[in-house]
Amino acid sequence: MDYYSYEGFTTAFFKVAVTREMIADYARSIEETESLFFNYKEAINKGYADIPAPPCIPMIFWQYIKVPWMNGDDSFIHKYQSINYNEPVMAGQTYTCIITLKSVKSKRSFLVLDNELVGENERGKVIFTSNSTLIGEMKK
Amino acid sequence: MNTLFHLEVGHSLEKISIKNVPSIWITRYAEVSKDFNPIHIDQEAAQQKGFDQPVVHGMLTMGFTGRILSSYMNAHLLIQRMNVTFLAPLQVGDGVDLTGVIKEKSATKVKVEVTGMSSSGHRVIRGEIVVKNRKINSQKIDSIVS
Repeated sequence: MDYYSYEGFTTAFFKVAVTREMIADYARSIEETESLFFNYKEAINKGYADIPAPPCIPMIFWQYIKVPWMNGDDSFIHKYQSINYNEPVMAGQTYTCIITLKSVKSKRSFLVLDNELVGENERGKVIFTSNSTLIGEMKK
Repeated sequence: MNTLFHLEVGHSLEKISIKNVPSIWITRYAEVSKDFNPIHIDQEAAQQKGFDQPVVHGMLTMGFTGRILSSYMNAHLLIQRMNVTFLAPLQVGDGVDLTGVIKEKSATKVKVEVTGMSSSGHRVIRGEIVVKNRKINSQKIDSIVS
């Protein structure tokens, strides 16, 4: 796959409706034990309007859109990840997301892909920005 | 004032200790994330890439790391930023200790430096989590308005 041809490319916008069930499933998958992420009353007691999601949840949103530059046979290692928030991801909210291949670089015999996932709430406010650096071996 | 903001610089938060990452956890995370890369779920595929056992998803390790702050969280706090570098992969059967130390602190922000050490003695993840105290801003606004 010619990754350079996808540099700057974005996916279409896609919507992710976050539910309490999605948050509970995700929290279980990271072996979370804090009841805040599973119990509505606990979340209310802690001042939230509904159940908040654990901070790394945005990365599971990639499954809701076909990312054309990630559909090849090459495998990549996750090297660096940052997630920035203006608000927490919350149950009952729908986020409009888009993924961009920000840059493609070669470093020695490796290919470095910088991806960005941005999610906005229903009022158009950016809620999270998730940057992922993936490294793969360049095929000759 | 929130308990996290009562802690001093240098304070170590309660460690997340995982004795052994079983393959069922990988399977469960793969189901939730839909990341079924064979390196995570197939031993032969992992061995072809030079690993003895299937490799734990990097984002699963990062998810474990985020749990360091879970017990402190309430609506007055916002995890404003979480950055990590993945240094070495965890494999099925590995254990990992995830620690957080308060590195910087102000009235509005706490920066926690996070590290993960595998049972085989390798550092697998390092990074930082910045937590914002949202209550400070609302208190200031209230005092200006009144």
